[in-house]
Amino acid sequence: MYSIITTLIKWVTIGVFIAPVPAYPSEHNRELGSATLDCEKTVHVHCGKTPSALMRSGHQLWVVFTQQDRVYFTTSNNQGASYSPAVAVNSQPEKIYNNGENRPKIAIGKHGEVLLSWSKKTAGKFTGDIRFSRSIDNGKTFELPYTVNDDGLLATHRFDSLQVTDSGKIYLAWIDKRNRVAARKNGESYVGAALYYAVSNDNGASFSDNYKVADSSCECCRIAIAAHGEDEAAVLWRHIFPGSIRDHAAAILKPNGESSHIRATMDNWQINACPHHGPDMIRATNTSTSTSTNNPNISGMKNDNAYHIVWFSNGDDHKGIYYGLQNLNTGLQSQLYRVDDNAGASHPQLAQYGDRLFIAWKLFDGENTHIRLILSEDNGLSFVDKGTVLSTGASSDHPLLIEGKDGIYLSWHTSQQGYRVKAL
Amino acid sequence: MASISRGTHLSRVTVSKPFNWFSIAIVTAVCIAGSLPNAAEPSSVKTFENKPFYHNSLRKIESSYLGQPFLLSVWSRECAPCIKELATLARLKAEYPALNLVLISTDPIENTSETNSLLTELGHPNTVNSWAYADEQAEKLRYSIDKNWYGEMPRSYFYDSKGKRKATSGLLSEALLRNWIHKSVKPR
Repeated sequence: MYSIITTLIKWVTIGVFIAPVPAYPSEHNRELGSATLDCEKTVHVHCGKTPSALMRSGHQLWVVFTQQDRVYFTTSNNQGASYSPAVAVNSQPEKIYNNGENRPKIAIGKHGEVLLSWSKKTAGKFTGDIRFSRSIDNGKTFELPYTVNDDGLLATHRFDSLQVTDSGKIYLAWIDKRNRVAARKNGESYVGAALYYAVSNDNGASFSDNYKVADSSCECCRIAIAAHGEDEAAVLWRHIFPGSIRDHAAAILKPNGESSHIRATMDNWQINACPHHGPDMIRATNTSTSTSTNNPNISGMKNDNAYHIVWFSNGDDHKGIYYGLQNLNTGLQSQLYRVDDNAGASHPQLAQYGDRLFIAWKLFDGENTHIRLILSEDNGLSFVDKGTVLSTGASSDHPLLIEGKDGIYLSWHTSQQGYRVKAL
Repeated sequence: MASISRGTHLSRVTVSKPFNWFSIAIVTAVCIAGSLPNAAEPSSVKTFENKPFYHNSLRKIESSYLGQPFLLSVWSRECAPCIKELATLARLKAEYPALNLVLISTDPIENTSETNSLLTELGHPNTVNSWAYADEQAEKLRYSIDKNWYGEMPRSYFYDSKGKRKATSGLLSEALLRNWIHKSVKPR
């Protein structure tokens, strides 16, 4: 009876009368300078969603993005003025997580392979699989994508993060609920999700078994990942500490599956909620010109363990976006700096070029969304406000920072102007 | 996986259905008048679908509950604690029909069928006063709800009869909700 009634209401509403249409700006046409793209019919980075990018050899832009149910790869030799035809990575369409802080990732392999990862939506709630594909011919063709999580469970495996080490090992870390599923089966409680990873020692032809880093990670925030030493990776993620404190933890991941984690941030954010707001992290000593030895806050630390981090908290002790210099071995943090405590500030990114440390983030002012930038020329001891880099009055993706041969670039997708790459 | 207690809710939904004949009459009458409301309706009119939440919708919701306490809950399908809380809210709403409950989903209204089926699964009747984000620039809607809110969910606003509200973030305990209901809603 109930379904008949509801069907009738639907039929009456939809069939006989014109249903109200949300007053959206058109999603289908992107006006880009003099050109207009019909995004209904065109596969293009301007029409897609959630692009991630890097500069190959410092100048050729490599971009991965999603459109409909596919992951695509495209390149640009003129810093985004024009793009090569997009190549579909998955020939079979699959649902791809490209909302919240989910996006496909891109890295370059030891021998120039294009390495891609993403999270595929599976049939359940919050469930997914970690997918990987690579190209060994500069992105002309991609190998059949495969699933990296090895539990075969319909469970959460999402928020993949991809990192290649100096030695060429490939790390994939992600949020995983296999232990939660197991606990529930046994009638036990389980807080949050877990952090898992796998390593490829053969340039992405295959991945190792899955290794657990920690139980009780937060469930819906991106994981920051960076290289550590020659063949290890460092990760920083929002964790659930005792008392439902959602601050950050960090760990060094070893190729043999060993890891240990520390508490990184001390914000005291006690909450059982989804912030949808993960951190970013880069190695503090990733350039030969680093001034770290002149920095009293780093000297005395083993430099291998010094990382620049940015994160968001709404805790009792810190509210807003913060920067800090983090020792991943001792947990010691210095140079704490409040980047922006406006409620409309979100999704900070870090990049370093020579002695210059960049932090970009998104700020909504009530009408428009701006990409803000601050710059440090003393390795994070002090920052200079560089103002707004780009703005939009429409919807927009999170900003990314990428390193080129001659500096750092902002990578940002907006629904109005498509994908933009801008030298900072 | 999100911990969702299922099972008993569906039967409760079925039991409360006769009310929908009234809904049909109202919806049909409104349709015949030629203007389907796309903003806030008086609380006596319940529609089947999620209503589009625009930057000016909160003001309309607030004026539709003028002089009455109500609970505004902002949630997302991507938020596990929200799913837990929605199940509790469905039970409490069934227990206290006089509870003025407003739900705003931050998931785009284009995917409204997924949102609707989740609400149904969690035990919410089709009469629930449910809204979904209908502006591509989601920041604008967040700002319109609360410019001091960082976007974490679930986010709840307890409105008193004078229109004053108290905001909290994070999963609300059933005890806290019951406490507020006992103070704000007349027992049936």
